[in-house]
Amino acid sequence: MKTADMIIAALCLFISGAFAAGSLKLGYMAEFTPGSGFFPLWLAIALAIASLILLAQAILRQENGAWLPGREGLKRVLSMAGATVISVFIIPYTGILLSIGLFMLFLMLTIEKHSWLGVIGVSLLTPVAVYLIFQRWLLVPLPMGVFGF
Amino acid sequence: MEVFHNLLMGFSIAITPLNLLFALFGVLAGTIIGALPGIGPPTGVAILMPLTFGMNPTTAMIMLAGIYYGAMYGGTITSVLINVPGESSSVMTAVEGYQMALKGRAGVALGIATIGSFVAGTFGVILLTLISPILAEFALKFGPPQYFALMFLGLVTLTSLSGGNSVKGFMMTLIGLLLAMVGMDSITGRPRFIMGNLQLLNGFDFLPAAMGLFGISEVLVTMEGPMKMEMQKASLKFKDVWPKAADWAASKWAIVRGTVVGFAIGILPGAGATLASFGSYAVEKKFSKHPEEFGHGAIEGVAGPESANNSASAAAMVPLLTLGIPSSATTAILMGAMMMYGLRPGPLLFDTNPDLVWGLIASMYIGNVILVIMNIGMIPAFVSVLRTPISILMPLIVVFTLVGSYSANNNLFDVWVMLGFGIAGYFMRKFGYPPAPIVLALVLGSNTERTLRQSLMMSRGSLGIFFSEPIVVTLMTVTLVILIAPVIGMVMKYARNRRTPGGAQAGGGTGEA
Repeated sequence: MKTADMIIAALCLFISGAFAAGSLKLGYMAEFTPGSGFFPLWLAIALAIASLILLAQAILRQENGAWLPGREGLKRVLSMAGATVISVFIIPYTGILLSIGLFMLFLMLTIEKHSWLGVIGVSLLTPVAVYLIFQRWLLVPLPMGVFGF
Repeated sequence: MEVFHNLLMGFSIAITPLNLLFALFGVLAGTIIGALPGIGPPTGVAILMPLTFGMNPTTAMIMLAGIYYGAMYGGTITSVLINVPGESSSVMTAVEGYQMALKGRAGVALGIATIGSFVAGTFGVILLTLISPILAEFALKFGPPQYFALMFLGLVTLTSLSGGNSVKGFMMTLIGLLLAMVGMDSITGRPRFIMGNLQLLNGFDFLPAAMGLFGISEVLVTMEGPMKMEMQKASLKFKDVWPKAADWAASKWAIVRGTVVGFAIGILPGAGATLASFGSYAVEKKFSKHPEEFGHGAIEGVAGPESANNSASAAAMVPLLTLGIPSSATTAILMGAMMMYGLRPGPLLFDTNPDLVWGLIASMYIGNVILVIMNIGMIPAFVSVLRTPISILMPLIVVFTLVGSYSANNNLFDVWVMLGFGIAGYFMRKFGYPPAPIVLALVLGSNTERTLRQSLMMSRGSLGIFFSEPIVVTLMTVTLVILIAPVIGMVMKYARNRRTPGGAQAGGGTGEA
């Protein structure tokens, strides 16, 4: 927690610096009224102060507790996060329906044991349901892939 | 009796088949979402919101609000049977209700909670019906300074109530407000902080943010835990669920007190259903003739808090509808939804969209009736939903957030934004940074800035305008007190810690519901 708080405080200091610089460029006052940079500048200053307090708190604290989940849990979190990122990444090539079908297939094979029928059924039915709900009912033009669906 | 006339008009809208259907769908989905551990009402409303695109705003709001108050009913089931709160406002129920289940009284715990929920929910909606028009009328006189003061108060209270280290809460609010600054300046139309990315010209949408911060991050946190849940076996037939005479006697005043406490807390800006249920639990313990039973299955400890979270969820609609000030993450998402449909929550809503306001309020009466029937008669059905493996449910929720965030603007950029918020949200949860203030700040950000700048234009740059008129002075004073209190507390704690090294830190997060 100590290290994490210090990293986050530093990150927030950087964010506040970036916003402060941007605000000054936008102009603090416009004629006699507050300009585009007025509010963000104050927010950035407040964020900087809060980050410094957090930094001080973290430095003064002794403990650096563990936060990682157990081995199995970590594996599940990483497969879930990884599969999600990859499936968004491949959407432009595969289309969203194939992408989420593969996503379901992968996770059902890795996280827990399911029957083959269940694995195939869920991986097929999910894209079909998404297609019916979003494309047919809500008329959302879902992104298609190179395969034409 | 204009109220009755309006309410009748509302009922005539709420009972059209389509609206009834979506009220039913909303409360049903809400009960299930409330029952699913780890998935709270803000997530539920956010992930199901894409279904309302293209719907009539009234129907959409009827459904989304149904998810919100329906979740208050559903949270009980998990708390009692699995000892894991289905959502944050059922934490106390996980204490008392689970103890009751261990003693073979799971059915009664669920029964009394449902009846308490119905009484409190309905009473809450009655008060909502009576208070809202008066408050809306009053708020019509508000100008930019009053609105700024109100939003400032709302942001500050939600943050300081979000639990844990309040510095972290304030940092999240400030990050949210800064993110809300990205995009076009609402007064001059000038692009700000877009880093050359034209996709950001319209700013960060609250929906991908909410889906990520709540949906994805909740899924990731849930994945850490066990994939199987131990469920208490219980007979949940009608005769087991319906409370006996002794249970009635023990809980009737707890329900009444919970209703009152819940409404009083729920109507405050920044305080939501979660805090209301904690408040009610404390009150019950104080009023009880046998406080030693608390923690060992006291029925009042279920009846009170479960009533309180329902009247609080009705109460939370008051500031949302009349002032446009959401008091929690869920109401912030509801407000974001209304803005997306092109509505402006606030006092004018009662004049410009009476059909929506009154249709929604009327639907809440109907929704509570549907809920009490469902939750008394269909508990076994909800329990079987809980048996759906987490390892299938969680990926399905992710699929919904992916497709949902895409369908808001039909673009993949939003999906990436959603994922970014989701992964950030996971670490935020791990390290005690509350996600609720970011969503609230994103929704309120541009209005906060606009009213502040308008106020300063009115006063030609003098901050004196915020200390010039009774309402503003009161609001600003309350806000400043809440703002300064933790600083004083921190200084005192630091002084204490120097004498006794190793001060412990309190954790926990509320403010979501």
